Amino acid sequence: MRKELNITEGIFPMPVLMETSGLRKSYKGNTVVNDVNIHVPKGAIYGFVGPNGAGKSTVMKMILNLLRPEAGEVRLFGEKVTDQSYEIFKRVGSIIENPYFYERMTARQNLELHCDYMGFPDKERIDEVLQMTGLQNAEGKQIRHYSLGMKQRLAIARAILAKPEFLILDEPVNALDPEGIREMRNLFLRLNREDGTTIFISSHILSEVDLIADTIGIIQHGNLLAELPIEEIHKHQTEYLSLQVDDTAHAAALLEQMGITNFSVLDKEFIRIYTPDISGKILSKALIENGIGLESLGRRQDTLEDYFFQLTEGK
Amino acid sequence: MAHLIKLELKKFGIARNIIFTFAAILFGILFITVSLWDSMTDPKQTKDTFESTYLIIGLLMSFIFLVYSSVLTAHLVIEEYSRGTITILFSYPVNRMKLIAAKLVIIMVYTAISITVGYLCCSGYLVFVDGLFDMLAGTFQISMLRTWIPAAVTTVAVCTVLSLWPFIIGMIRKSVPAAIVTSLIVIVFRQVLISQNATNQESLLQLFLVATITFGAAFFIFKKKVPELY
Repeated sequence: MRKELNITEGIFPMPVLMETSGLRKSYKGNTVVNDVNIHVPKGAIYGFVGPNGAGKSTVMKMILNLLRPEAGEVRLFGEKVTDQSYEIFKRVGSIIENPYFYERMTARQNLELHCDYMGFPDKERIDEVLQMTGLQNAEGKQIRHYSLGMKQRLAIARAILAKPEFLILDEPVNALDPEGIREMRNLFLRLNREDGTTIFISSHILSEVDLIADTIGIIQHGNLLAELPIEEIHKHQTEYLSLQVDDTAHAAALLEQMGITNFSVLDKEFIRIYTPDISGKILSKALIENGIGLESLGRRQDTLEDYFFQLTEGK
Repeated sequence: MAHLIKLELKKFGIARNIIFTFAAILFGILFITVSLWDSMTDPKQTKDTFESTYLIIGLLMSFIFLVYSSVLTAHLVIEEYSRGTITILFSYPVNRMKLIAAKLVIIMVYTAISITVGYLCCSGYLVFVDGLFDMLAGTFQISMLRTWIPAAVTTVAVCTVLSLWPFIIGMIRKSVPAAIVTSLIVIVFRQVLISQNATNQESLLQLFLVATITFGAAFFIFKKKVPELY
């Protein structure tokens, strides 16, 4: 049987930069965030994953004090986030929901305004972040003439402009093309490794989070189902044999006859066998001899996606 | 606070609004000229008096700049919410209440200055054209300023306070149309109120009451609606 990994407290060796405790929020009697306890270690890239409507953005808004929690608290840099603690946001960069800008201002004007509000005097940094996000040739254009992908890049540029110690990124690669996604992923990794920026990134693209995060939090229906270092997931990743057949009931019976019991039937076509030492050659021969149509057979390994579905669907 | 006002002024667009102020005053002057010309040339009508024309100037200026203050409120405050840029502003290391207060200070100061300049330009024009073409009944006396100045000060003070109402009502549902319509209702309400007075101006007590109610309502909206993003 596979080992179940649950919320683990105190497993992170690094000091915690941001934590929430007992965070709760409801809308019209409907609880959207329920008793969420998040621990983001200093220097980590924390992947906050969950399906659409799971409560990711609501949690992120509460971290930034854009929404007031009904219960619980958020601590940033060891300080409780309240209406009076706004000074800590000098050390935070963020993208929440959509990339909002003053549409009639140019990209540079928007970034200059950001510097002014953040109290960040180094305007030369604007050129750097425009370069980093590939917008150096579009800085004089009004935002209303930007595509959504360009706005997303500019939102990233703005978030990193004041050299924040903590970056909160809500679905930052939405609307980016594959090349843009790769560029931004590399940018986030560079900021984390070279500048030590702690990143809290939400996404529903699990493969993307798998590539970048070193800590994972999984949320569903407002409940944090698991929080653990990504190595913990990788450690328990199982190799399995994936079978695609035309009759899973018949194939399952055959597997039992062969003494293979550690398998699961996923749907009408797919079976996963978790016995690693079984020979594919013997298996395919047995299936064909018993008149079972074999579409495909191959060795696979669990991904974050598999772990996610095991946790959220109880598979 | 001064720093926040400076930042908000960048979005306000000082040059654009100065141009609007002078365009509105020119419109006021044109309106008065047509009115005076009509009463001067039409034998069935008597010439307008300084007193009645000065009242029209007050009405015109307060109408134009109160409506425009609602447009500014919509642009500077309510649209931040409806366009989502408030999430960016509220993520900055600034006091959110002071940030919104800075926007309102800009709107109120602009309204006060514009109405004052409007009064000065239109009244000056009145005295000037009467001196040249005798367009009004009677002649201008310095003693008239004893009633003109207090009337202008009261109108400026009342309109500055009333310019908060588009914010108060507009913020309830973060609605731009509600803000604009509120300014029109406020103008009509004020007109009904002052028409009961012999001077056609608010008394000091009325001014105090209006200010108390307005600031009380604005405080309530600050506490309840400003922190709400949606």
